[in-house]
Amino acid sequence: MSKSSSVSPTQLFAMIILFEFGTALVLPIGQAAGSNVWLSILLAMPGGMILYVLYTYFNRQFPALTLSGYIRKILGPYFGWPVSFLYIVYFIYISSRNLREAGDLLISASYDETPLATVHAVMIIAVIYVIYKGVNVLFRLGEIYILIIISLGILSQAAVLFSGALELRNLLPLMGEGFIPTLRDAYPNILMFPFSELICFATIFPHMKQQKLIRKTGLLAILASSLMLSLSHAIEIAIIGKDIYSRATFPLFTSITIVEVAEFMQRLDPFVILTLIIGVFFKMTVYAYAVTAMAADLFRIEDRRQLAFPIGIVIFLISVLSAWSFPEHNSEGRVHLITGSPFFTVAVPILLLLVHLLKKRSTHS
Amino acid sequence: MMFYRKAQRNRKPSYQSHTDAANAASDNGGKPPISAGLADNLAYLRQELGDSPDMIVRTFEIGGNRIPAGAVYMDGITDKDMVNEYILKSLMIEAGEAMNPDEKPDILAYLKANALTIGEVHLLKDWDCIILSVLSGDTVIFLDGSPEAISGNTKGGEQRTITEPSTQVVIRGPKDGFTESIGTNVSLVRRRIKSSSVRLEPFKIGQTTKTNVAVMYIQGKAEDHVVQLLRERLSGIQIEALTGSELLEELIQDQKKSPFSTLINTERPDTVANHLLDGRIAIFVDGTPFNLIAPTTFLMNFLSTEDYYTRPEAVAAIIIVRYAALIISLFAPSIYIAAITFHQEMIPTPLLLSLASQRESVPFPAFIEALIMEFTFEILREAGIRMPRAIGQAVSIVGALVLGQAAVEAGIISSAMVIVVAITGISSFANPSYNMALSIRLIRFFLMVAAALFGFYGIAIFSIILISHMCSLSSFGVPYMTIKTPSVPEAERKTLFGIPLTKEKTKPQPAPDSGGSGAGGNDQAQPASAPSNLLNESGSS
Repeated sequence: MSKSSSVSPTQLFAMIILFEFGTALVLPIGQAAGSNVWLSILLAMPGGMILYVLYTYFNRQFPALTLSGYIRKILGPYFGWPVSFLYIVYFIYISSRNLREAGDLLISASYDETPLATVHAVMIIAVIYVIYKGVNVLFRLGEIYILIIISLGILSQAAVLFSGALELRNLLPLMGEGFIPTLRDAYPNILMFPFSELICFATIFPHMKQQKLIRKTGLLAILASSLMLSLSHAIEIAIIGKDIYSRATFPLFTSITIVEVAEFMQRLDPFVILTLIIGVFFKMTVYAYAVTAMAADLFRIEDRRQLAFPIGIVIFLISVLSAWSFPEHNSEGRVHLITGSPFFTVAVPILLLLVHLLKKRSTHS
Repeated sequence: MMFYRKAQRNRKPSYQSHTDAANAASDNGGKPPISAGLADNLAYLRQELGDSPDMIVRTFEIGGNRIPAGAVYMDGITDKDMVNEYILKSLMIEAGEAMNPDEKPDILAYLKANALTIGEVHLLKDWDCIILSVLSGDTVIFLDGSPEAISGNTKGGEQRTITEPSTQVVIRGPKDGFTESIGTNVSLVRRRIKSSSVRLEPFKIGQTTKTNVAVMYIQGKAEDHVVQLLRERLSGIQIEALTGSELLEELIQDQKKSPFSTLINTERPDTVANHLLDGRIAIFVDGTPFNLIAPTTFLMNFLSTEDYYTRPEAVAAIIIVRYAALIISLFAPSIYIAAITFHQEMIPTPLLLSLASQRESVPFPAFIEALIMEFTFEILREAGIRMPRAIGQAVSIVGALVLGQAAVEAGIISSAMVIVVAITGISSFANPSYNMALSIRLIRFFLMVAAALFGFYGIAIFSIILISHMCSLSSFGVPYMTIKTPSVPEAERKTLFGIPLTKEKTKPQPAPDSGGSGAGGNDQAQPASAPSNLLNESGSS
């Protein structure tokens, strides 16, 4: 990897939190748990941590290689190359899904007369620019925006507290339908989204300044982000109740529109929109960066920056063309959550681990 | 050649031998060697400077042997008293009394050692040095029969005295400011840091102007690789003329294409001293009171000199005000446009009603309205800089009443817009750095366009691009957007987000003994070719 780029542990911490927030803060996550989503998030967290440890395990074995690099090393070039290529396709798809979610919220919130493609194009320009500037700029940007996101969060949650819209009774009954639905919501749904998505950080680990701190920093970031996610979703449910929560397209948006403080702060929707724009931006940029890193590795392209524009355009086109409507997009998402996601983020890494361990044992004996 | 012959014809025939030599040399493409004949040398120098009337040539004889000699200096940039007292008097009178008429071997060296009672004297062996010396204000002495010359430092002449800086004013703090003379400027800083580890490295930049540039830092505090990088950049500059620090700033920046300047400038010696003590490097440019500091981060732009002389608790609060002013001056018009055009729902209903009734008579969309007002404000601002003091009051009445109040009453703009533009304008003056304020003025218009097209979404995306651009900037290898103060070790850091936590200069670092064994490596790196007398000034002694 290029020597000039280096990412500090603080930057990684900030970026993982931003990435986890991404769309998970705004979209309803988990389908069945109802009022206990916040518990499901906490239940899914250990699973997310185990997956993260698995991803960092490969990094410890191959510190200089990116995801596609060690896939080819473990599976051999003939199997490794197509599998790596599938990862590229998968990452492009996820990145474009993120863009679509932001675009649809923006259109439903205040841009009802702006075409979807225009909204997406504006966002993709920023993504292309940042990818072009390189991984260092992306992570330094994350360090700044985490402060913005957290201050937005504190402001809006303070507003919620003072508005009196909080109805804690909405959170009851605690596990009213027993432990199983809550657990089933956590595994696999919440584990897949957002926790398992951290696999694309495997392309960033080689840029880390202090390789030893990757695991510790990441686990701390997962802990912090799931606590904040859990709190935020608990507040959403407490405000709007589990019925509306499970029906709303964007529950955070719906709940924040109810909040009104002192007859002055009547509409906090811009906060939500800003949060979503920032979160989606970072999430899709990390994915897009992962794509460029892997594509540069697979196709032996020296200058990764050349790839920023073509990959940005592909993501843009897929985001517009993949679904005709947001409900269609959502149903695609549900399918994806039980097929593509487990395959790429759990099955393949475990397979890689097994092959790697077998190889290691055979070389040892 | 024709021109040359013409000039030659006016001279006495005795110059023949010299001009032959000159011709031979000019065929080789260089300047001739210094002739042994005094008259030849003086004539050549006259001709090189185009027979300039402000070049004064005084011929005389030295000692009992009556050796013909000539002193050359430029009128106006030399200190005449010094020329008369320490050059002419000592050579014409005192040298003759002391000199043994039988001694002949190396008369120039003798004079240099025994006769010239002046601080700085050099033996010059080629015409380039001589001409540069004369043009810098030195007095050059030729002797008949010796192919060398002596220069004595007699720089002086009229200069602006040290006055209070006009752009960076403090309430409590020193009142001296830099002048246009690099020697004075360096001495102002020297007076504040009496340390043997202060290093000063001279450079000459500009083929025509030969502007003196000096780099000052404290050895052991400034990072060696930054100093080395700066040296390389300065010696790599190929430019015809350097007339101020603005151009130099552009030439040595890490990234040239950016609205942000990654060096800060100051006209206050105490600011320079404080930065030097924090391990940064000062770059002095002759001919301007604005000297540069490197490396710089974004947050350093929000520190004012006043902060060093104010209680830290108060400074912390004031800096928060400055950040708020930054955000207002950058975002206020675009947020107004976005709210009015796209996001009316976020404005509280009573305010929205009032805004709507104000805007009822306004024929323009909010963006055009904002553009008109912002542009008018920019015109007023430009005019304010240039207009004569005497009519300032009249213009401000026109600006405030006619353009503000009357435009609202005429229904061209809404009064809310006037408030927005006014607060934006005032906020931009709260920024201690004029450079930063200029960049923000520029970016504000792009933000307004983004807001007019896409509302808050446009502002958010533009901000992401803007901040990522700033994240990609660096100043001599130090990231521009870092929160940390560059060059200061972690343990001694005394600012948080640019807010100083304590003013104490922490425990003094062991100053490395100058020229000692430990610092040997750095001494080698100093540019060897630069003459050492460039920065001194006779008047300041």
